[in-house]
Amino acid sequence: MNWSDLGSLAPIIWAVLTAAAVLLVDIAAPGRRAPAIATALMGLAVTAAVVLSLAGHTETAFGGAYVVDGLTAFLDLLFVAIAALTIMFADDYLQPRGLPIAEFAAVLIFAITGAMLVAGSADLLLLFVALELMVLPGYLLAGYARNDPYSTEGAIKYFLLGSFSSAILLFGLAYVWGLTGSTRVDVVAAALAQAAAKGSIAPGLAMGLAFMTAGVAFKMAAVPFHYWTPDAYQGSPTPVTAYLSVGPKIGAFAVALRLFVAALGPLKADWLPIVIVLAALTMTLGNLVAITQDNVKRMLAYSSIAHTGYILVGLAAYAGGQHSGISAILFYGAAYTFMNMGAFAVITALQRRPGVTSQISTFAGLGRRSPWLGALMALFLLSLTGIPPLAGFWAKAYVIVAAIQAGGWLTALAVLAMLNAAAAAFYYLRVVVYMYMRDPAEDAPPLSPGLLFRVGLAVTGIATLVFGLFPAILNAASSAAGVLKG
Amino acid sequence: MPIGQTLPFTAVRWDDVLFVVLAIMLLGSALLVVTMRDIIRCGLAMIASFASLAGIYVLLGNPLLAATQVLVYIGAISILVLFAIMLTQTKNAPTRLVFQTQAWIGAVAAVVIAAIIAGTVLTTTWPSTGAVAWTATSDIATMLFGQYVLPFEVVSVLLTAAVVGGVLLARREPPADKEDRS
Amino acid sequence: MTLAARTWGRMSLTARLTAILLPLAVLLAVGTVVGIVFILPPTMDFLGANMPLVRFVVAVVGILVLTIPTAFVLIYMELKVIARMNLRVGPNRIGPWGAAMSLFHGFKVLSKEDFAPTGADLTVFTLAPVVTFLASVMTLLVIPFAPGIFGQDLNIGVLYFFAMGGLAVLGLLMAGWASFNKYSLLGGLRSAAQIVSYEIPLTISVVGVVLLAGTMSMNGIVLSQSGSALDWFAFKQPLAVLIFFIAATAEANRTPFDMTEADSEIVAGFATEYSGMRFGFFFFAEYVNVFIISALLVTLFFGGWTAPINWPWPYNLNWLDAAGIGILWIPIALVALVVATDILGAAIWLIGGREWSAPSAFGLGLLIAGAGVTAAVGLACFIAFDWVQGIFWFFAKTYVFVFTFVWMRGTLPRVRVDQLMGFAWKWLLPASLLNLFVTAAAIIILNQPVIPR
Repeated sequence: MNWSDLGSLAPIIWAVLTAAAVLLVDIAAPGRRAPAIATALMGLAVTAAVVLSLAGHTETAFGGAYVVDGLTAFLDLLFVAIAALTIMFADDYLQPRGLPIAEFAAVLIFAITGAMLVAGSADLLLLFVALELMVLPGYLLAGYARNDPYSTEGAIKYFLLGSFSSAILLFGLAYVWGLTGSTRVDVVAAALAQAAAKGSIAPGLAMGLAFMTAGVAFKMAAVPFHYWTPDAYQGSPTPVTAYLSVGPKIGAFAVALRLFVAALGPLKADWLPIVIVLAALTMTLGNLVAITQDNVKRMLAYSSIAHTGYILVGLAAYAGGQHSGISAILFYGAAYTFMNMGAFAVITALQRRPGVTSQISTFAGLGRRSPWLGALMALFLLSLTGIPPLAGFWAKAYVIVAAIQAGGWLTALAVLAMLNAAAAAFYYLRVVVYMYMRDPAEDAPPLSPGLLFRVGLAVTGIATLVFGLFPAILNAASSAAGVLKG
Repeated sequence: MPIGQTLPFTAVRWDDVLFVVLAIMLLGSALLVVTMRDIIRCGLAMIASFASLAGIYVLLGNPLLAATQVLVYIGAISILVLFAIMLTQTKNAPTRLVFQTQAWIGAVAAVVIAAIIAGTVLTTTWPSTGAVAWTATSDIATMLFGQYVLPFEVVSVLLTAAVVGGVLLARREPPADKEDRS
Repeated sequence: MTLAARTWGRMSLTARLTAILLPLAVLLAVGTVVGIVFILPPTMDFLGANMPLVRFVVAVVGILVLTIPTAFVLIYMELKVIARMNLRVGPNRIGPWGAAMSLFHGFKVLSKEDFAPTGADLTVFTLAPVVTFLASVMTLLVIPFAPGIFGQDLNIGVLYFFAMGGLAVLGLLMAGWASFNKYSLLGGLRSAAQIVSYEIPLTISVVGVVLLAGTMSMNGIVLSQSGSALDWFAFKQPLAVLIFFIAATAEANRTPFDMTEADSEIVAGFATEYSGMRFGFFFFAEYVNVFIISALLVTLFFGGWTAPINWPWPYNLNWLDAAGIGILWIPIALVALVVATDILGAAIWLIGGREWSAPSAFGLGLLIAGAGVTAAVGLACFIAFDWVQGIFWFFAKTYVFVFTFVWMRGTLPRVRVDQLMGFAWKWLLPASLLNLFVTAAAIIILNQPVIPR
């Protein structure tokens, strides 16, 4: 290790310092919300600036354990944006319920730190530890509303299944380590390339692959490893759900990129069928179950499962030989982040008053109660559906095009994805119907989200629109980031 | 410990004997953990299985890991687990654990997975097999603070996050009059 | 009556004895020869081939046996010293100055009924004292008493010590739970909370010593303190000594941290329902623990078996060398004992006049002569053998600290539970981290080479 290694790690260090600063500010001014939020957002801004200053470099640090490249920079920025948006949305939910914001922000930034480390890890051990750092604060955040039994229930389910899946992933990593003798991703890839060149892979490696797939599929909530998702998403405080539906999910895809693409890339012919099956199951089941939901949070939870399936199509396209699959994954991740967080933000705005449920009836007449919120919600839902001039459309388009270009079974998968997108329209548009074609309840109070909240909502809305109208902006970035060797 | 290679008067190796004894203890106590009804006894059986595992670590040539296992897993984690159980459990609790409704399916699944794992491990040719390598403590230190320094530091951040979260979940409710201090 | 019975009846006493003893002697002789010829060589071979194993078994047995006199001495010492501090006499009935008190205390405990309350979890209830006692005894395995006199020189000695020491709390927790008594449970829970909390500063405070010594082996730590008292780590790690002393007191559940058996609050804590030898084991373990933490304090911070001044290292008394002519000194010492007894006895009898009967005069002579010869032989051994020196210094230093612990028990009041926990987490832990930080920084700044052994 030398000092320049710390330079490569600067974004991580800034993120950790931000979390520490938030906690210290809370000690200095206990219970005060504004200083904590300001510290967190400023720290995240600095972190983003540091990430940008490193963008364009490609360097390895700590003897090859950590790598800074386009992918790291892209994902780092995305994670910082997720954290900043979550903090902006969170206070409107937490303050009326008497829940502290400083610890929320600190724990959230710790989680983001883990996700950023995952994005840059080129060492299996670091990958695992960083993954744990990413998910462990998630368990805490899911149970953040301690007095809400649903929150606690969701947190416990998330925690138990998450711990099991971590252990399963680690078990799989141990197999890989045992067969290749190293934890460095490049060494592992070289050793596996040698093994793959000989033809059939060792049974132990297949076993390890199975365990790793199961572990990562748990984290990204792919069917049949999705059972924790609906309860954890529905029970968590809504801003936390917003975070959980994008942060750990994209983090899990970062794991997939660093583990399956970079380290296990030589074996992609072996894991391609698994990913195809997972993708097909995930989007189909996610969409079918989402149709029957009456609770919007739970519906969005299942819809997030379905989106996992779409993103998996990108991974399958990569394994099928189409390198643009990776940039499609990144594009999808970024687009999904903004539109999904926006949708959850609108639910948060509705739930500002404690006791308001996220049942679909709550949305009745939202278009009349609050035209801006209604319009934005419609925008996000249309984008999630994949209606053309919006970000969600291009996200699906890139993934599906990559799959069709790869050909073979992937064409069938692409067709399935298109059918699913059509089916998804049903449940997304159902909410729109409630918003505009039902009368609001008589006693519905006016909605008055805070200033910061409006800024965050505007950011998500503008991003959804701009990335939809000018997809080339985001596509340029994701294509630059998606040049991952494997 | 450099004890003799073989058992006196026989050709059986000490390592093998100890391994079999420890493995039987490990599996037996682990089985007791999941089959016994009294949750405290389950916890104690868990401690026994941790201790057997520590013995296996010594056989594999890493007494440092064994001592850490005893110190952390038995001396701290299991104690705190028992502590929590004792604080919350009463003798009036249901004698039959409510979670054991799928015991048979679970047992079958466990046996099947164990068989598959055993099969794959046995049919795989592992690159490095051979004599037990005794690991010096200084080697572990060099590795931990050299090659793996970054994961090591990340673990410290992880623990900090966990402590913050633990305090968050465990602390007392703030008094009601602090509601409007934003 | 058979022939054999009639013959037996006619025999004299001498003849009868001969008839019994002669065949026995023949049998023994034959047995010995057979043993030497056929059994001894393979046995010796086996022992020779498994020398480390034999050494290990001997060490374990020795350590197990060592705990008994240690506990007896400590119990007597505590009774007597605290009595003196309270201006009482203390035990004074059995033996000179009541010195055999502990022994009879032991007999009493052994002969008591072994009682278990209704509702107790009998298996756990029985195992608990065993776990506690064994955890204490096993830590003794790595303590070096003198050069070459130690159970096992593990290269992770310190870590092993803390790992095993931490197991003691398991026994207390088991006892507290299995007793089916709320006071027992409270005692067990208190001990778990307390010991787990204090284990952290305890362990971290020792890391400074490990850094300075460059090894975790107890022997290595003692060797790196050899020289005079100024080389002891106590003077390089004063804060660590303080932290260690406080945390070790808490680990051993000694006053002022004996919350686990605070008799004014929770009857007798985890030991409430225990009686007989089950209680005896807890009692034993407690006093052995006092000895052990004193021994560890001495080993880590006060130079172990090294002398406090730069001692002229074992002076080779050739004439005392057992392998050479030295073995003759054993009969010489015995002869000297007899001669001195005779001379002294005669002198006392003559000078003392009629008040001394001959046997008592010679008895007193034997006592004085024996003491003198023992002292002379002891002094010679002390000069000649480093391990005798080592044992002397080790036990002398250890008992100074044992006395300190007894003294504290006689002086200090018990702390409150919340103060106890707050002190561990808010003061001891930061202080121990500070100590570690300063030590590491000092090593880097002074560029003191840390040699991994």
